[in-house]
Parts: sequence; structure tokens; C-alpha cells
Amino acid sequence: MKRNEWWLGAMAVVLAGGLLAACSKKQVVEGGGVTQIPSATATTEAGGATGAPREQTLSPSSPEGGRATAEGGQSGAAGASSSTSSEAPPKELAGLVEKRGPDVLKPSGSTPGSAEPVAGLSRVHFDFDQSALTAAAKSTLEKNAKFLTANPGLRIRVEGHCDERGTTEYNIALGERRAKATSQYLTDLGIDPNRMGVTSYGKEVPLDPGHDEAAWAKNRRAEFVKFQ
Amino acid sequence: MRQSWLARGCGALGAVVLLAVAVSAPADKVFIDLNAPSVRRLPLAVPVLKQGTTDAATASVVLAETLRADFGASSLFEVLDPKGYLEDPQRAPLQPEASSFETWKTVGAEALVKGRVDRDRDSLVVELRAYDVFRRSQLLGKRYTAAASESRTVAHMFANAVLEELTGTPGPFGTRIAYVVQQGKSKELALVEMDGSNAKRLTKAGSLSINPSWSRDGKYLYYTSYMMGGADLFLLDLASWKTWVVSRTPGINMSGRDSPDGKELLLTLSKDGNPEIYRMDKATRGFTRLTQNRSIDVAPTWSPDGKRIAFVSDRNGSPHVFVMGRDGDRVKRLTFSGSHNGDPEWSPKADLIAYTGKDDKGVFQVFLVDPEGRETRQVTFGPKDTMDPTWSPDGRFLAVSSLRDGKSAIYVVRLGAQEFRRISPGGEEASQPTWCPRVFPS
Repeated sequence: MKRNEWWLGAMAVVLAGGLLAACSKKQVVEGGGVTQIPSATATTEAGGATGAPREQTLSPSSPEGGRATAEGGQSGAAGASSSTSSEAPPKELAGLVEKRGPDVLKPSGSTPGSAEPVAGLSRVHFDFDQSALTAAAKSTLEKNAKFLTANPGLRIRVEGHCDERGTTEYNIALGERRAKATSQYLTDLGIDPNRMGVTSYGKEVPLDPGHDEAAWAKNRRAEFVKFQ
Repeated sequence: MRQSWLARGCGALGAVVLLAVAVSAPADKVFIDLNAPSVRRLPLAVPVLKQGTTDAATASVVLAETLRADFGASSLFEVLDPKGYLEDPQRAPLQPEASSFETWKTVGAEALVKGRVDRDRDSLVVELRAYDVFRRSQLLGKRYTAAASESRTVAHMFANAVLEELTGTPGPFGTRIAYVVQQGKSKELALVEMDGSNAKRLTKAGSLSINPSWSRDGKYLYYTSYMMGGADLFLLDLASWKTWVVSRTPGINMSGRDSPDGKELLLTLSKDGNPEIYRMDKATRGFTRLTQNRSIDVAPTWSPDGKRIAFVSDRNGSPHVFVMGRDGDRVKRLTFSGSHNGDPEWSPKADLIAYTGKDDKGVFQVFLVDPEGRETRQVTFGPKDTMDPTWSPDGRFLAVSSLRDGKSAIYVVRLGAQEFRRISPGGEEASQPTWCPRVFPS
């Protein structure tokens, strides 16, 4: 065996060994064996928003083997609805998930953009990858603080947003930083912090769907919506 | 030592010889390095299967077409155009005779996959065999019994088995990728097979459901949803179609990364003031905080041995990829260039971490770095942003999201090749893919 062959061999062993360890249990019965594949379709009930049981087109009985049926098509009518269960979680999940289902809590602002913006409060914008308030943003927030002082019953949620450039989790973190910087400045101007909540949407809810600098500048922002 | 049938023909250019026998693996296995740059693709013929019964005609075509697609997507084979085949698959015996091998040689085939399918009411009995045409020997033979609707599944299983026979690692065909799809102002979770078939919506919450991540057993998806108003971490049970709250602390709740043994979960929470990474014991809901500083710490990913965690931090100013021990110890920075690095994903074979960074023109691309941070390598190229890498369970492919065709879509890229195959349906705006870690089916 030539030298370069040995080298390749060593690489192949690493490749194979590492992957075998990472793989799930053996899939098929060895050579010539018979492999039984469970039937694909099954009917389940899903507690939809309407509460009506629906037929699902995914096979839930065996997720690894679970298969979408051909009839399901591309657009896919299947899907878990927004409602969640308030019953006790299955034993396997008992330690992992909260006992209390979220449907006993009051959802708020669940649809993006559905929360009512406060007419007297202007949004503020940020520089790229920055959460520091610009002079223009500070000036806007000073006007916003006056409006909040004049409307003492108003409770708001400050929503932080980013442009599309960047990774999902970092942008959610950056959006929170922007919302907090905004809320902190309002606090410094005398607004009771208990009147303000903070949420970050990261890059998920752009104001302008464009992919250029003008859109990005609009999308790096903090918004003010009514707290429900 | 068994001579590899693939070794022959690869010496023509004097470049790479594929033969190697693993010491620690079963003695008879042949291993091929799929990532070697100049591997010659082996000419493979896949005729339509022989039909035992006339009502198996559709299945025989679907099986052959699926096998051709799978073998063609692997780097090992060049699938020969069936129009050139000389043998009538319905008349030839399943076990080729000497003259039959000669006929396949004439066509240019060095490998041959053929089979027979019988239909018995609603089920199929499928026999598949792979042959070395030059040696006139059988490489692999398997028989499957399956529901009539599962012919594609059978083809995927056999393709995976052939790849395992040749390389020691099963193929990933038939595995699934979850992702996020834009639906009006909402974002919903969706699912598609790695070849783009069977796309499905998983949620219709009318909210933002984002950043999905599979449980190790492939039964659940962790994801962040705003259905309660903030960024909370949920779990979708794909068997019962129920969702459960995993974490709903004040502030951000995201990540949800199962440990390799499935007993622990990594989360990013900002309940203590800014985003920090926590490890949760899934049996007791006990939390261990792993990062302690005033900067952003997000996007944790486990090493396959569960001993280390890669993550993203902007503790040095801009976001970079770091690695730490499972207790938050031994923190080491891995990336140094670029102003934005994120989305680290540890490869299944542990030797690489894929991440999103910027190229020298400021375009987001997918890069690889080794866990010691010695060397980085750019994987994707082009004028449009490509990001969110996720590994196939065999480590041969990455799924990414990219704006390369204008609208964000999910693509599968074979490592070492600039071949992008879009797998999310046309018309969908899709992002944030996550590849099911289980090889289908288990």
C-alpha cells in the first residue's frame, strides 16, 4: 500500500468511526434480511383553534418513520394549531415542560403587528449593530416622555427590532438590548419603569421587506405599543 | 484485504485511490473518503425494477427514480441515463448472468443496482441488489416488505445501506429538515425531506414560531414562539400535535438544544439581565448558568461527546464563536475575522463547527472552523447572503438558508461541492433550517 493510501485510510477511519458513533441504531436487518416498514398513514386528533378534531396527514405514530403521505401535497394542510394543552404533560416530558399549559394564561400580542401602536409615541432608529441611542433617537424619546407624562394611565411595551443582516439568536439579543436602552432612557427621563414592558423580535418583523440599506435603516428600531 | 471495486478506475489520473480498510471496523468493510477532492464518480446503472405482478409497475418506476436521485446526490456515483440501457429489465433474470454483466459493461456501467418488486394487495415486497459489474459480484442484497405507499422509503433505505457498505457511514436519504416559513406577518414551522419532497406545515399559530431545533430522538421540536407575547421556548410533540411550554421566564427564552444523551437542554435566557446560556436537567428542571458576563451570550451547540459547547458572544465587541466546557469552563475564542459570526453547529463527526460569517465583501456565507480554532474555511460563495447551516446526520451535507435566488429559501449543499439544491417549495419564504439528527428510519 502506498503512502497516500494509508493517509486516506486513516482519514476514512476517522470519518466512519465518528459518524457511526453519532448515528442512531442500526436501520436495517443485515444483508438479505427483511425489514418491516410500518404503514404510513394514521389519523390523529389535534385540538385546533376551532376545537374540532382534524385528520392529520402526517404519521405521528413513529416520528422517525413517520411519513407525510403523498396525498398531503406540497402546501400541506397539516399543522399544530396555536392552542396548547392545559392537561398534564406526558410522563416523558414531565420534568421538561411547565405543568401549566399556556392556554390558561392570557395570550397577548400573539399576532405580529397586531398590537396597537401608540399614536403619540414615535419609533426610534439605531445604527448598524448598535444599541446606543443616537442624538435623533434621544430627541424623539424626550418627546415620547412628555407624551407619557401627559398620559399617566398609558402602559406600553417597547419592542426592539433589527435588520435582516445577522444571525437569528444574536439579533434577538441585540433587539432586546435596543428595547432596554430605549426603556432605560425613558426611565431616566422620569417615566415609571413599571409602566413599560420590553420585548425583542430580532430580525423577524421587518417594517420594510426590502433587502437594501434604506430598508435596513428603517428596520433597526424600537417601537411602542399598548401593553395589553 | 478485499480489493475495493471502487478502487479500480480511480487511478487513471494518478490522483486519489479510494481503497482503505479500517482496523477497528468490521474486517470486510471498505471505506471511501467522500471528502477527497478528486474522487471519480462511479458510473452506475439503475434500471426499472422487474415487476413480479403487473400492478407493481408504478412502484418499480418510483423505486428506480428514487434510487437514481439518491445515488446521484451522493458524491460516489454518476447515474447513467436509462435511455442508453440495452437490457430489458422485465425479461432479464434478477441475478445477472455473465453475458448480462458484459452488456452492462458495454453501456459503461461499473456498478449496477437492480431489483424486483411484487405487490401483494396493499403491501410491496422489494428485493434490491447492488453489483460490481467488473467483478461480476454482488455487493449488497436486501429484501423489504413495506406498505404500497412506501416505495420511496424502501429506495432511501437501500441507498443508505449501499453508502454504509461502501463508506462505513449510512447515507442520509429520507431524513427531514424542519424550517421556518413566512405566512403573511406570521412565521410558522414547516418540514420537508432532504430531497425537497413532502413539504408540510407543522404549526398554524398565527404568531412568530422561529428558531426550531430537534430533540435527539426526533420526536419533538424545540422552538421559540411569541404566542404568549414574548420570546418563550416551546416544545412541539410531533406525535400528539400538542405544544408545551419549556421556559417562559421574563425576557428572552430560546435555543433549546438537546444534549447528545438527550438528558439535558441548553437554553439562552435573559432573565438575569442579559442573554446567558444555561444548562437544564430535563428530569428535574434544575438550571446551571454557564456564562457570566454583561455581554450577549447566545446560540449554544453541543459537541457530539457532550463535553463541550460552542456558542456566540460579543464580549470582545462584535459577535464571535467561542467554545467552552460543559460547565462553562475553559472558554476559548474560535473566530477572529469578520464583524459578525454566529449560528455555530457542531458536526456529527465532531471535527468541525459550521457557522455563519461574512466574506471579504461583507456577504454572509457559511464557514467551517475546527474546535481548536486553528483553521477556518469558507464553504459557500456568491453575491447573496447564505446562512443558518445545519448538518445532515451523516455529516456529508449542510442545509442552509440563502437569498441566492432572490427570496430566502432552504438549500442542501454537499460538503466540498458548490451545488445548491433548493428543497423548500418555490414561492415560500423559508429560513432557519434544522436537520433531524436521526437517520431515517430508525
